[in-house]
Amino acid sequence: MRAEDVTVAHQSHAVQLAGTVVQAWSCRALYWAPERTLLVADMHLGKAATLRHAGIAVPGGTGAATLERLAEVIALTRAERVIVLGDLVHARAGCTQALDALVQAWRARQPAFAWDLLGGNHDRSAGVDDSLLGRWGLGQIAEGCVLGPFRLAHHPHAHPDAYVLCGHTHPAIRLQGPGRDRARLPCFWFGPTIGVLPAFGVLTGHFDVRPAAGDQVLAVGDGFIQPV
Amino acid sequence: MSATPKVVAAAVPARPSGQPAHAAAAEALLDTWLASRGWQAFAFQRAVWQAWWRGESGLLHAPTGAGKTLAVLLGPLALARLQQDAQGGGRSATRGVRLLWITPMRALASDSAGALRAAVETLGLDWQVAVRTGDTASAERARQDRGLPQILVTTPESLTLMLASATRLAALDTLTGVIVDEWHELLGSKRGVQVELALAHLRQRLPRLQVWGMSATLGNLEEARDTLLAGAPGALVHGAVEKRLLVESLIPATLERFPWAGHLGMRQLDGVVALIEAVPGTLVFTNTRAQSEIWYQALLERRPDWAGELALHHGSIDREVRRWVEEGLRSGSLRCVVCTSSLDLGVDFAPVAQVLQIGSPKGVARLAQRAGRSGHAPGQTSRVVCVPTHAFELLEAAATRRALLAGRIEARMPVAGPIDVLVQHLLTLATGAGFRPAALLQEVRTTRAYRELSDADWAWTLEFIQHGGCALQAYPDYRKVAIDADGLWRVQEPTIARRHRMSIGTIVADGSMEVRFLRGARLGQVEEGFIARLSKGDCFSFAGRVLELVRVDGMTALVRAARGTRATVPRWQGGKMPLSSELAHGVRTLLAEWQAAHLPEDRQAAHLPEDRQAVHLPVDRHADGTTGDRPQSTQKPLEPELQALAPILRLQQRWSGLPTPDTLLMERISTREGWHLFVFPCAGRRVHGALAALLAWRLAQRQPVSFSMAWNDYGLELVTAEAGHFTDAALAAALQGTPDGTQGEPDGDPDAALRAALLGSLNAAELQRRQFREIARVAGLVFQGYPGSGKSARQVQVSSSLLFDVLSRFDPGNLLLRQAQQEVLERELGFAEVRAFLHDLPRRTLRITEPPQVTPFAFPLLVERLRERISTESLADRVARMQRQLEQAADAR
Repeated sequence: MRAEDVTVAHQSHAVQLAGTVVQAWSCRALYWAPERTLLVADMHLGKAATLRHAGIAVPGGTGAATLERLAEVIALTRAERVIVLGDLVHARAGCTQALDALVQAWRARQPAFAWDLLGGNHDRSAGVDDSLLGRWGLGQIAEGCVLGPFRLAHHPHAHPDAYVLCGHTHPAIRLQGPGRDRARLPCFWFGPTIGVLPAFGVLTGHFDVRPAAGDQVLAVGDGFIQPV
Repeated sequence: MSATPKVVAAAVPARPSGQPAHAAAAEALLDTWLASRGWQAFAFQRAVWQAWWRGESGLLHAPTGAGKTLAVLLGPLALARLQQDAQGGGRSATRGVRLLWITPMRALASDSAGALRAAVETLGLDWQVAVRTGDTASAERARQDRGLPQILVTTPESLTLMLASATRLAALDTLTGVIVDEWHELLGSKRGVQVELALAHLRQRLPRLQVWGMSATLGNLEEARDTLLAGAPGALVHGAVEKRLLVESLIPATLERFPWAGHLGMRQLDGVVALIEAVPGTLVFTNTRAQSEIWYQALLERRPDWAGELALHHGSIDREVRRWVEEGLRSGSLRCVVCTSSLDLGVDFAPVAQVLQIGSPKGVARLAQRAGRSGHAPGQTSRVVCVPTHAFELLEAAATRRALLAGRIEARMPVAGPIDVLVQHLLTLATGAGFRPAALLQEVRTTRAYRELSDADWAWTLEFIQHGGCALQAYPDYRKVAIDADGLWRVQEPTIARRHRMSIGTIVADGSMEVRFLRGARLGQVEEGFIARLSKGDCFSFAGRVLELVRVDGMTALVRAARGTRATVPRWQGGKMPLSSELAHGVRTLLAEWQAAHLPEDRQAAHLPEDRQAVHLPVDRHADGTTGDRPQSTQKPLEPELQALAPILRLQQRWSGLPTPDTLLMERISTREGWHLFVFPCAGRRVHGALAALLAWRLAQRQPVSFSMAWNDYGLELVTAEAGHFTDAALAAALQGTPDGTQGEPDGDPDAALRAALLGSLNAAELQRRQFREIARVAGLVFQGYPGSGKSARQVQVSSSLLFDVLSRFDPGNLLLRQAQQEVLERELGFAEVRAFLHDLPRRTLRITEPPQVTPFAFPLLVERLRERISTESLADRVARMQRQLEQAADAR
């Protein structure tokens, strides 16, 4: 996909962090220009199939929509490297042949980019192995891997030496407008030592966070990103 | 049954011709038994027995405490006793379960069983009575699985659960009858549909099954009977025992001319204390749990000497505490109990001397039910005193009294064709013995709820449980129901079967947290959302105590007694009940009568100042001249409530006019805030909310503008910062739903246009997302987990709002989404009432006035809107200031 092909509106917002600037995107990805690297967390591919396997009727298309969103933001940022901060897949029951075929076909359509997975708790219990990584063209990086001034992780544990960027918690924020106007939106949550990305997957739940004073919170929705 | 030997004239002949032979023997047996105790049967009891002996089904309508339990029970028991005697009194002559007793509330099950057991024993019958509900211990369940008692007391959910097992279902084949207690409670809900489906299934296996329901007074008893009996012929028996019902109001010494909701309440405290003091036992009913907490605290503060004699009872309080309170009521050790609808139901209640109703009952049936808690025994007088918390609630009290006297009680409409309950039912049967679609469709269509189920909807439902969606996009990984070699549809996966059994039920409660002292004593349940808004150290009022939140531990809020007194009162879900349409009608009629008595029509027209114009809507479509609620004779003396309201009504009349059945009153006024439009249909909060949105939307379509809105049971308010939006022409057009106000709807379905406009005018997606929570749970799409379920259960958890978004985007044709939309229209927006109001409009005179000041009817709406923006304290100050200014204006003119 090329940037011209992206028909959906996406918006980005610059955030000062750890002495540098990152671009937070409304489609829930974080871009760091100096190394042309895009970070996403918690894609939870195969969740719909996992639910269906358990007898919960969820329609198809959520996995493809998640991958489509990733292709769009790659095209817009012209990222050369994509790092998944854990929970690429949801569960073992969801790692079906259909998902395998979907991801491989998607990967084949994209321009070349390096793709790395920092394994999360779901990836481990789903049994993500070298064979799957190979088929999907994924490299593997470890918890605590360094990217410029940042330390990358899946779990939000602070580190004395570096600012931590991570996922896992699926942060969301409740907003209250005038009158009965209320909304609950996924968000980026940047604290003094840890920054948490919103869950990237289309079929992911969110959990309310209570930011402390001084934290930067950016709520994201369809085509907009808004500091709150 | 009554211990009083008073003879009641029997309207039913003792032995009608055509009565089967065993009936005579059974009746003789009961007569002897009754005579030996010096008792006398009521005519309606005899009527039910005889109908039972003829093999009939039916519905018994009688007030609580009138002896209806024995009416439905003694028929089958007498037959059983005859059979027992014929078999020489051997033990357990009749094996297996004979009667199923369905009760809507788990908490009532053991009380019911006690009453049934007493009847069985006194008749010398060798029958067992047992309870099977969600609270029944597994050992007891296992015992029942080895052999059911002759009478099983259960809930709709537990009955459905028995259908989910082939052996348990087969064990019900010895049934002769099913008795549904408090059918009116189930009727208007999805649980009622659940009962309809279960009964249809039992009837198909047992064609001679007799079904009897018991119901409190309803406006649509015949429909209630037909729904229970699936349209088959059946008796409708009216309990002959009428209790005298006295409805009074506690009228405050002075009334503000500019009242606002909730404000008046505590000023009535002294009057309430005096009433409680006067008699030995009082029930104080409030409309919300929060209100009950507030009143309990206030009463205790005013009368500390009543500590120990005053108790609090509502649905969130720990069951053991509630039991203690109920026991105290029975033994007479409590002077007064402050309660909510938690005490509306219940058997075997000690009669209290009086019942107080704080705030408007909002419904005729509701007040009748509550009033029935006093003077419980047949023939005694029930007395209820309404304590208005708002001046206009005096009107509602008077209207309720009239409606009760005239026997105008609200109807409760059965739920029609919910797909989520159908999905659940199919899964239940597939989990049990399995089903064949063709036969099951016939069976399902016998119910009232699904008699109009379309072939397409049925096909969709089958596809949904088999493939997880429509067959065109069948998912190979979906597993739920499969068709076996014999063509039976069955759930084969044990985990899926287990999960379905765990989640059977149609009631959805918000996540609730247990409130517990640090030392361990449990206080009850409070909604999760309330605790989430509190921080450590915050104080709140709960279960009659002021508590300090120490910490939250999982789903438990740990608290200690607070030293301070300033507390937040939890706001439970549920909340505001709209005025029923019967009551709204009554209020409009009262206002019309007052108007007629105080200002004849011609004088009124003559004295109409220039700035008040009467605009007639073009009358075209429904000009049949019918006026449903034209005032009657005006010569009788007005109710004391109306006399007390006179100063307010007179001022309202002087500045603007009164809303009556034949006019639609609208007020235009400008303040520093902007341009206000007040509309007073007097049709209840729900209708006004929908109308406000609809009017705003239609006005904004003429000319872009944004409004803020408010509504209450009497009317609605629109406010905008710009002038010129509330012209006569614009208002007429907005009410008629046409761009220029001159012609009717274009060709096509006018309902569809109104439906689209209503959904378009509101943030309908958000309402539907909320409504979808219940639907998703009933249909088995979200699963809340069960004790001991670990990580694997978490992996298949998904929130209903996420599911709603995903379905809307990826499967927009899903029937469960359509159902969410229907439920929003019907339940949240009161579509039928809005349509009726708009339909009736051409008959009414549109009267637009321009009052010099905000009128008494408009004032509460103004406050209602402010309430959303500012804290209560500053609100009270602001309201007081506005009231002073308006009072001065009223006196000056």
